Amino acid sequence: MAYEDEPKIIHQHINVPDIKKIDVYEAHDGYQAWRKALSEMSGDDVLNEVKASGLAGRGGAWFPTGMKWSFMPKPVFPKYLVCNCDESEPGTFSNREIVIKHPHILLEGFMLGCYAIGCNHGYIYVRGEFMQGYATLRRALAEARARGYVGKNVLGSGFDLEITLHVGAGAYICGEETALLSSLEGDRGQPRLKPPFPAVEGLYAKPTSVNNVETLSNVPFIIGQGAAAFRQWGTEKAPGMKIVSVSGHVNKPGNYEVPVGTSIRKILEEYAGGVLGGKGIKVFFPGGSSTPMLTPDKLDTPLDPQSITAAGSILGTAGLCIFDEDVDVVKVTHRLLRFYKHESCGKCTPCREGNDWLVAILNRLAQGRGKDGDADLLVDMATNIAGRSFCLLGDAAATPVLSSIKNFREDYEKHITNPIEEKVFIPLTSGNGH
Amino acid sequence: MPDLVTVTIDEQKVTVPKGSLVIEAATQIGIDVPRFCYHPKLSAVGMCRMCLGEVGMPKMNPDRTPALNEDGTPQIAMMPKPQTLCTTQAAEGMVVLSETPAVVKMRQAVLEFLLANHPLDCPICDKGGECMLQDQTMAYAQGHSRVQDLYHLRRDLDKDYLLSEFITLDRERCIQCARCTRFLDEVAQDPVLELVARGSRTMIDTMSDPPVDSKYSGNTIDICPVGALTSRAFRFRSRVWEVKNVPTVSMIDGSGTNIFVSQRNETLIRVIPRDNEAINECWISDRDRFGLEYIDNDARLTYPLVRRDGKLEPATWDEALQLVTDKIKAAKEQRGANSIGAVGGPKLTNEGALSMARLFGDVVGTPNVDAGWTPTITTPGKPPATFYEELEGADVILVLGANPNEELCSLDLRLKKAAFQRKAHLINCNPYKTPLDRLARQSLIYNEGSEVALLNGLAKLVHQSWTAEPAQTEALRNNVEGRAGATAWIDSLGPYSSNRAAELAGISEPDLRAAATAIAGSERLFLLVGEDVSPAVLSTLQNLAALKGRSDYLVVLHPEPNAVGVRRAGLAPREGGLDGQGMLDATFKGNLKVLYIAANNPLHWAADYDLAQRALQTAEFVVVQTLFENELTEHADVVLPAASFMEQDGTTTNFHGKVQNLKQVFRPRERRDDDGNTLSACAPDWIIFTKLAQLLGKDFGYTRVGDWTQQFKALPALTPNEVRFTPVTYEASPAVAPEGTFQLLTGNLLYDGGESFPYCDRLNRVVPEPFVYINRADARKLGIENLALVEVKSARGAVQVRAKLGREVKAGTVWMPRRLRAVQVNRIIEVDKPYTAVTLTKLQDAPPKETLPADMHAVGVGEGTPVDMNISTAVVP
Ligand SMILES: Cc1cc2nc3c(=O)[nH]c(=O)nc-3n(C[C@H](O)[C@H](O)[C@H](O)COP(=O)(O)O)c2cc1C
Ligand code: SF4
Ligand code: FES
Repeated sequence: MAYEDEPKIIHQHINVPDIKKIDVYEAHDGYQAWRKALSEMSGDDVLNEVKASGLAGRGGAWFPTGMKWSFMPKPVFPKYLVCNCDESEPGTFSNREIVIKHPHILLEGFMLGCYAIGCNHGYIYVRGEFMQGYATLRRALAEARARGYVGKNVLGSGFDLEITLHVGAGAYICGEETALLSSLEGDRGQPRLKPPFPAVEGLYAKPTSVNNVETLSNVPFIIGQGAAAFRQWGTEKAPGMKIVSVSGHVNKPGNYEVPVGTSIRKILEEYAGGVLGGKGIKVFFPGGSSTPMLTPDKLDTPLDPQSITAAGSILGTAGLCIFDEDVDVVKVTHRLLRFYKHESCGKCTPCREGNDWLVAILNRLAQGRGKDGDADLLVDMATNIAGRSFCLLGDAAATPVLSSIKNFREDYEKHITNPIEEKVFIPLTSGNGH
Repeated sequence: MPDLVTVTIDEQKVTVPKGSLVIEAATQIGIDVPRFCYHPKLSAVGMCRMCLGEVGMPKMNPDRTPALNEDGTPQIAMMPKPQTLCTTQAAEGMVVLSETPAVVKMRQAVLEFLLANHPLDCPICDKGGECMLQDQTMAYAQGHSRVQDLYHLRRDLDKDYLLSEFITLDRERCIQCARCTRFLDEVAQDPVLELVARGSRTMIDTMSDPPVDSKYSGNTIDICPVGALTSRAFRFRSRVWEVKNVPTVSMIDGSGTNIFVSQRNETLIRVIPRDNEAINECWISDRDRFGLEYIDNDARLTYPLVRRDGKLEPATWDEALQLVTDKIKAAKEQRGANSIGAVGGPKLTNEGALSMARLFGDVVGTPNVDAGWTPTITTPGKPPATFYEELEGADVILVLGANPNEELCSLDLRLKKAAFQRKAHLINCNPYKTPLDRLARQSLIYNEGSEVALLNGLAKLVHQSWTAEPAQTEALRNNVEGRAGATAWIDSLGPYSSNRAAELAGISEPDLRAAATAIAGSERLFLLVGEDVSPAVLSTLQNLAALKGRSDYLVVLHPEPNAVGVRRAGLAPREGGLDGQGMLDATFKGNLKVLYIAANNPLHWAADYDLAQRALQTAEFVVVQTLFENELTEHADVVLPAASFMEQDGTTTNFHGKVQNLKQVFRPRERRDDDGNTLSACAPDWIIFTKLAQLLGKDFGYTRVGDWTQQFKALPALTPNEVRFTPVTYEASPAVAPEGTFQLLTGNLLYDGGESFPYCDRLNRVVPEPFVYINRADARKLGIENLALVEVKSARGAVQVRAKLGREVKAGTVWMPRRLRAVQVNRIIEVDKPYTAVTLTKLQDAPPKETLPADMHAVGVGEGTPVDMNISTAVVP
């Protein structure tokens, strides 16, 4: 079956013209789940349905969403739902498409989430560079408000709901949930200590759940069609669909919503049109730039969290980034490390200082002026960051260094004397703003 | 008892309260986990990663029983990642490894990262010798750098960024540990420093104007683990191992702050805090740190002065003391001892005060002895011995008529801690806004003079609340029933319905109720009151304290250093004697002939400047015992050079009654000839008074300061405050300023530009220009803009100052510091009226912005010459 004809959850109507307008969205069963929840279900019912669906966080950690919501202490008020729309991971762009093309599905899912946890004021934290997405979301929110889906006493149900959109200032770290909350509060966007976890002390020290755009956008389907319908796809441990952002040396880069567990090769070859120019593959990231690189022998791995972990990487955000056989791995790593250095928040020593020096060494390799033992130095420095930093950004930065040297040490040796060829295409699709 | 847990750190077991951090538990058993960002007084952040260690927890079987090894010991599951021991909370059975080879490697890694960007300029760094980075480098670093050949890429940053008048920042040395920012945010509650930019460009900068606007900013210098923040006063003056750190107590304010004075070759190098958990913890105020430089100033008096032919001329001690003796003897013989008056001051040590009191009270025999010029109240009875510990445990704290931020620095920090960390319900009552209002759960801005009505209204509500509520009744009834004066007191509350009390006080009735509810329900209520309120107000507070059953939780706040000690020593009018104010009056009227003033200045501190001046002019013989020549010594017939508290041993008493030792740091200042022979020197007060007694025929037989200390300690012990009730009714009529006038409120300012400021270079620069706070709405009506020059005029006189607009004062009132530089409110205040009404007239527009330094400070950031204080302070008669 062609990709277009496959069943989908979030992408089912995403290409319907003007689906971002509320009339069109409603004409495609939009806000039915929200009406159903308000008229027939209690908040707990919604929560239980999400729990039963087995929906897990699509922000990268794959933590069961229902469980996260049930951690919120019941009797504490107020509590908050915060939607994480800070998507900045290189190679990941599924959220972006949703907010630009299909904002109402996110809003509906967000409303359902608020209802499930008993939150009367939710926040959507939009990445600073997503100006278009922010504008569509704002228009969509105004439409939803005009229809009475948000506001006091929503649809006469007695449930009050306020939604605030907040635009960040453009920082990758603000996607990390505690940094996001700091930023939302007006502080520096830097991660906070855990514990206390956000579910206990989050936004304004109140119980808070932070959920990814894609995670929430699945909820209208789960409530509308039931958990069982959701479970018809995916694996036992990770049911449902995942939007895979395919980028790099492929013929048809883009977002593909596929059942969790679809093999990487199928996504690459059947949907994304195979590698550009019919070349071979040197290496790929299965889940965004922060996940360890895999070599082409792992192409048949099913794209689900467990299988990818078994293959030696992490599913993460499922940002599948393909590099053809001619790619210079040192250059890829160099480019990525410049990103992480730029995005390091500066809170902890290893990430703040370490990334600086990793880049300095990669710089000299890129110029063909490396030193003997640079690869070892890089490995040692990256090891001194990984697992020692305050948050996972440090680990994310160490990952490309460690995994590329593990697989392609000879490329590094080569650059001790040979500079990088400038014409090599750097295939990262996510606009990271730089 | 809190829950206890036992953890094993490097094979040693230690038991600590649950929730303690592992790093603290390790310290208890002598394991010093290396650290940079962790500080016991600040929130843990886990930023520097120096304290990483390996942590394991007991393994559990599926049935939730502990899994055991063959030999019965618990199996331990080590966590996959190392943990920061400064953020890890101790848990039962936890196992911590803090010195394994892996851990040592992690420390080397952190040091390598930090040093890669460090300037390594230890030889010229003020912190050298006290630097945590230096110490850890010696302990763990590898001795060489693997990125040596990239050293040219090292960040090239500001070496001498003038952060404020007090602090300079070396950005190359900063390791971004956020200790300074956390101190200011959490302890000082002045969020004026912030980390800016991100990643490796992260650096600190000030967010306030004037820069680093906090009275505690200097503490950041001490807690900075490297030499990034250094003191501009100490900079490049000495290596730290070359100074001698002498432990003593600062006599700057009533806190009794513990300090080390670093001295070298009889010069003052710097002042740093000395830990004392019972007083100042590890903090001192900037006033303590930068305000003691006057002590080794060349302007200090080192020889007595005697007036000859109308001119003060140097004299020997023998001459001067003989003259004083003769005059006292003559006055006593001719007109009786009552014609002699003596006023000491709160800057005297306990020994100085006691010897003065004995000299004048017993030897001279005059009842006219006092320690100041205006009546003040004192704590009735005995404050709790562990004052701060108990204060921090209070759930409700009521502060009335005081502004600790400008008056009592250590208390200020403790109140902030109580309110911020311990979530105490702080009720701040003042006639104007104070910085504490930001942290107060309730600020009651009342009409000055309505304190009794306010407090009676509160007491009535509290009393009613428990007659209505059976649960609270029992304990509270016991506090009242059968106590002295209880019935009469309850009757006297009759007229203070909440509505009337609120109206008289000018606050809202619900606010009054909310405060009463908090007080009624409190488990531990502390009442802190400024020393200037009337005795009637103190009585109403005593009633409130008695109502809650803890009379000792009522403490009077004295801004001056030894206010409590000098009064205990007996510097107070004896039977039938005159107080300070009375002595000025009597001198002016010609009844008092000899006035002996030690460590005080009526021109600054008397309520009425004119009276003080006329009294000094009329007096037949004036002796002034002081550190510097000043406006007062111009009126003196004999000036005796006194030693400061750093030039003598002795004791001092802080505002909550704690007696602490002073240690001599310097020899008394002296004058030498070219060959270095001492010609003359100033002398400690107790020596002067003991000598005078001798000359007057009484040998106390005391030759050492310790003799006087013994006498002081032998004074009758303070007795606990008696629980009793005194009816107090509100007498003063509500103050309504006549049309077109404003009620003048006054208060203290920490940086008031007083006597010692000109001799403290750094501190002198942050003294603001004289100003008056005007309510914004009032100012608008009068067309006065912020920083305009205005004339504040009362029936007595006028001063010209800058207008500062804000909501600090209620409409209809204005506020001025009691004194600021040469502007003294006692030149315009009307002492015999319940309050002073003033008019405001604009004289000049606000100067264009750029000509005014930041927030009107005498100098902005950077080196600069002090701005000419050209504002006229002329008194228009
Ligand atoms: C450095 C870093 C960046 C992250 N960025 C994002 C992000 O851009 N969007 C996102 O949804 N989650 C991001 N996360 C994950 C969030 O912390 C969090 O796990 C997620 O928002 C939870 O939502 P979910 O449960 O719906 O996946 C990031 C995590 C880290 C450590
Ligand atoms: S690893 Fe450290 S410096 Fe890097 S982003 Fe996280 S907290 Fe900030
Ligand atoms: S001391 Fe623990 S991280 Fe800094």
